[in-house]
Amino acid sequence: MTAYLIRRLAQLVPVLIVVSMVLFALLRLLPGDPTTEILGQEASEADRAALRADLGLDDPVWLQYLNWTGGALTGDLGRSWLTNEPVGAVILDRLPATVELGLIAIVLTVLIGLPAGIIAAVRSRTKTDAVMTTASVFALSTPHFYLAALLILVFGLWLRILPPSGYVPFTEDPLQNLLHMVLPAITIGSTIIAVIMRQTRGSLLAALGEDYVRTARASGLAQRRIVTVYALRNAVVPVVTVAALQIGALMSATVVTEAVFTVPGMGTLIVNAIFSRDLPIVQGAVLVVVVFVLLVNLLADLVYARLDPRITY
Amino acid sequence: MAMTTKSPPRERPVLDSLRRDRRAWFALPVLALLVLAAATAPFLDDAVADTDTDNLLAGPSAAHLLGTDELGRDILVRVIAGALVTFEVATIAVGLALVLGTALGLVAGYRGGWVDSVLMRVTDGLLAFPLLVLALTVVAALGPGLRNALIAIAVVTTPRFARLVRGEVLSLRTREWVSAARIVGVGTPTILVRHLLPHLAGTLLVFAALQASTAIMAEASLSFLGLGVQPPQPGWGGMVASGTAHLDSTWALSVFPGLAILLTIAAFNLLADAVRDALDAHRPVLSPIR
Repeated sequence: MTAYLIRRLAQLVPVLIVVSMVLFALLRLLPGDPTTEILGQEASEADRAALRADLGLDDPVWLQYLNWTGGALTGDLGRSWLTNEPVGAVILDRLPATVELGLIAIVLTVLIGLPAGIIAAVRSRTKTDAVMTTASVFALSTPHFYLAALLILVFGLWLRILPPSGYVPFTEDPLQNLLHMVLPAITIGSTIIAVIMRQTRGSLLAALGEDYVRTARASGLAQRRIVTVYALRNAVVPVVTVAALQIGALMSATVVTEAVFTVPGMGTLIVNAIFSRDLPIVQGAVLVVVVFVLLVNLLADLVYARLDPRITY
Repeated sequence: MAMTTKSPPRERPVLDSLRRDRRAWFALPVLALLVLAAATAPFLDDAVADTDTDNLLAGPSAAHLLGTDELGRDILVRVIAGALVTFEVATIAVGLALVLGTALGLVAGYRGGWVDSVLMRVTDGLLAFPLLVLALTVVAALGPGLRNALIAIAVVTTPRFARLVRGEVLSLRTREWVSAARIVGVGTPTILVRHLLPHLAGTLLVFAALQASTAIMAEASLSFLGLGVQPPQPGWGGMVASGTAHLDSTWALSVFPGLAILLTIAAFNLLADAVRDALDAHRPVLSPIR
């Protein structure tokens, strides 16, 4: 297991090199002089030259790249061009809201997606199954910003039972915090709930066709026991992998959804930094998101091994 | 005693399967409508910009079937004209990714060696980004606008095609007809195009339809955030965004363009599912040995 873990971590190295190169190259592609972004149009040439030297922009490109990645490895992601705050501190400030949203979305997925998939599989080829499968196609086809607008319209403006947007820190008022999180979490969760439902349905149906299920049936075991004890345990293994692969999609959803509900998380951070052309923030925040996605996928592979005793490393 | 069953002539079993598929019956009319709307868009230039200043944010009426927006422009006309952007995403951005990704995947899979290693490491790196996050990053570097959004979507979609094609080529390149072609001296480009590509057509068609749905969603999201289509050009994502400020009064402004996006994406998803099932049911058995 340890050897496997080391091998998997080593496989991440080339991926991270490419990721860092892409992020670095995109910044250098940018037309114009970053000192104009920082100092404004009226700054003197001498001030600009001093800042260029300070930011290391006069160094050869390969040295700039090594400086940036070297900094990133030690937790130093540079400073915001706009506010001069350390990028790392800004990200830590924005991380809690995004993590909370993601966690609630995952809880919703387990509470809705998994049972829905089980019901659809047990009642396969009935009207219930058809309705649920169709619903999942449309859930997967609805852009998150559109679902967000519809939820705001119905629950925030027509029924007035949930706040339409905004954010209250958990430490300030836990109840208000959760109330504000409900609509964004449903929005973000919609895709992954549908994916998990379809995957659970598919792999449970496959498991129910296995010989051991036929044997269990022949021995007169109750359907409920067959599904929950025998089939589900085998069916859930691929579901975990698929769930982990969805973490990237979850992050994409978060970016737009946070913007609609004005949640101060990583998504709004990235989008606002793009508008204010604050590229160190874009680079740093995107890097953190990608590393997070890679680590979750790695974790899922390890959980996979735990759930399925047939897999040895 | 000879059993003479006269089966009906079945030359196109895949099309027959599709004809019986309810998903195709939903998808094809919706996509036909998309093409039709996109084709009429160039003739709507005047109507799209026309402002009825007496009717700002008006509800549905005989003059404006879906109502008007905050500048008094007709929502229905703008929804129809907005189809053009979505059509361009599905054709230009996905088409570019299809051609580039397929070419890269063919070369990587067939040549192997260091070419394959380098291409696949780059692909791994690009696929590690969440799709919309990479598209945002590309737009951050290139600047906002429809053209750059199309480039960003092509960039994020290309590695997906490359990965798919490379995998297929790896399993096809050792097949006997490929070896035979190589032995008789057929050149590599001919092998790639004449002997490998045709076997990928079905898989690529299904995958392109799925990628079109993802790409349309990504463009709409970029435009919703204000980084894609720029006003006054009509685009569905941007229209939903401008409507969110008026949800309590004129919900039609957001709801109808959004519905257009939803139906288009659902059509591509369902078409992909239907075509895949039809192809799977009639996949010719090429060789018993894999």
